[in-house]
Amino acid sequence: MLIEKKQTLWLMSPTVLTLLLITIFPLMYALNVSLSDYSLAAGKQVHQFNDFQNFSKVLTDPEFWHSLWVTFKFAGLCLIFELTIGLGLAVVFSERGFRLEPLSMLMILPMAIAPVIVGLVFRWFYSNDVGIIGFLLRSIGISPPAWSSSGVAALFSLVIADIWEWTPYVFLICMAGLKSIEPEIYEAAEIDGARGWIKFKRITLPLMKPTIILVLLLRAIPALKEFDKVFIITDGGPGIATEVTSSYIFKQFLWFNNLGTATAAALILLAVITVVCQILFAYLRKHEEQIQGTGKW
Amino acid sequence: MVKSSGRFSDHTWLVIKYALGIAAVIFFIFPIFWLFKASFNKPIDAVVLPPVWIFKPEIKNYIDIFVEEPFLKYLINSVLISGGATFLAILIGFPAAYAFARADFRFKKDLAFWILSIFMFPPLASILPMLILFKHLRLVDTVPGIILAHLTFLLPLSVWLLQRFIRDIPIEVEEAALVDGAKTFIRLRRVVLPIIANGIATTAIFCFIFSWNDFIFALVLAPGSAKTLPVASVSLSSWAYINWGKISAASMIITGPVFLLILLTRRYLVRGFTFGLK
Repeated sequence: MLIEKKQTLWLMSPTVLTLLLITIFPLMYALNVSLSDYSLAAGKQVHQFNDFQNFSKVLTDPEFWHSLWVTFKFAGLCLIFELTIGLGLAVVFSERGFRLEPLSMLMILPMAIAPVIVGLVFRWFYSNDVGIIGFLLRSIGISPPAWSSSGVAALFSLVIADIWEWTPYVFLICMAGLKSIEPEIYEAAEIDGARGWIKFKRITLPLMKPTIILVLLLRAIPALKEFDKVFIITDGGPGIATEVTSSYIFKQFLWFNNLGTATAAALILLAVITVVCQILFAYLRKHEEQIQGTGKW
Repeated sequence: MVKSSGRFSDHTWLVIKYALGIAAVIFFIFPIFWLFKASFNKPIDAVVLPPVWIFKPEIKNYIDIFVEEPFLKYLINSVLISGGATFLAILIGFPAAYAFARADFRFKKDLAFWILSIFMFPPLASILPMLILFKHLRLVDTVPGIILAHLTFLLPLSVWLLQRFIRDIPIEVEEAALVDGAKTFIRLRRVVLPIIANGIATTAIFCFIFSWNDFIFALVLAPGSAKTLPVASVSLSSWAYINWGKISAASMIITGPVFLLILLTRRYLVRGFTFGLK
């Protein structure tokens, strides 16, 4: 054995202690806060304990449920589009002899850009007077959607920005997955007469299943936590049409200076994301022998 | 020529594929190109439609954000925060990564997935509690405060990536050192570290990028004197008249280093962006 028992403890403790200190400790603190009235301005708890008032306030607030619904709508739409487009492009670009393949390195750049900049550039693109999207649409005779006054258009303005930012991510991972499929499998299938769509359905999709589940997991979580682009592009508007849960929490915190409610809502969102994660993780672990990183424990 | 099974001939398919490919490349490159172009425009030319394609490049926007706005200070903040957080994440995370890769202990897998799950915390669930604590500790709006806050997502990332790189080292190398009598910590320093230098550099690059691009942690915990570049560029857009030229220049300053780093580490992009899960 390379490492003795006692050494393991020494090796693990810096990480575990740091994480306990910066996550669990504040979380305990947060539970304390979310169970009591707390205002930042006053800087102290007004009541010691308020009978889960903050949680019941959040859970009975229709705006909170609305924000949760928007969050899932946003995440769902993003995942569907990003997976379809990303996988589709990866199939095309990974084909032998496809000459645009060297450009794929350029295509993945959007995912490295700070989400803030993605938000800013799309806010610019959507703007009525100086936005290029409206200009291009008008120049071919289409009146641009009312990004800022229609709820549906506003939601899609966020989804489009997210598609731009994260499809390259799906594309990159799918490319790696596709490259690891033995070409012999395709050659054998071609001899048997399989072509195009059949090849994709019978070979590519089943072999890509673990990769697709992994991408789903790795995209679903950030999508459910989304804040930056919403904050910059729509700020939850019009009204609360695009207010995701993170924006709801932020609003409770910033506008209403209500740290108790905000923290309670954040903890509920944490619970929701944990449930979604657990479901996807369980699914992922079933396929783990096929995914390198988690395989050899 | 073999006929395709569908309605289209192979030739038509080829045309469709190339058309899709070119459309995709344009779609994903255009906004970046647009920012790049606008950052060298005169402020008025940056927003004029139809766009001006032929112009004399100017660096006025870049000068403006450093002269009219204290971007130098924000740049220094960002470098200190991302650099410091990255350094700590590697330093603290490396021993744990080594234990995950080489040791056998109870609950190892559960512990590893607990660490990974911390990355999935909704940021505000850790930021708001931290804000109260930081108020007591006088860490709000300080560089060390943000470094500590960024560790919540950098430490899981560094542990997971590093353990992946350590697993790539053939265990025989270390067993040989063990036979020669090298103790664990000496083995770590003399044998493992030199081999894994590339892996550490890659991990550091990813930690740096995640910290560099962060917005919400810095927005809540450092709204003033410890402000970072992303928060500063958003405040540029909070006026009624938005100077998109300045914003473009700020965006290029944030994006440039990241692109450079990405290029340096392109062999490990997939591993880095999937926590070593792929």
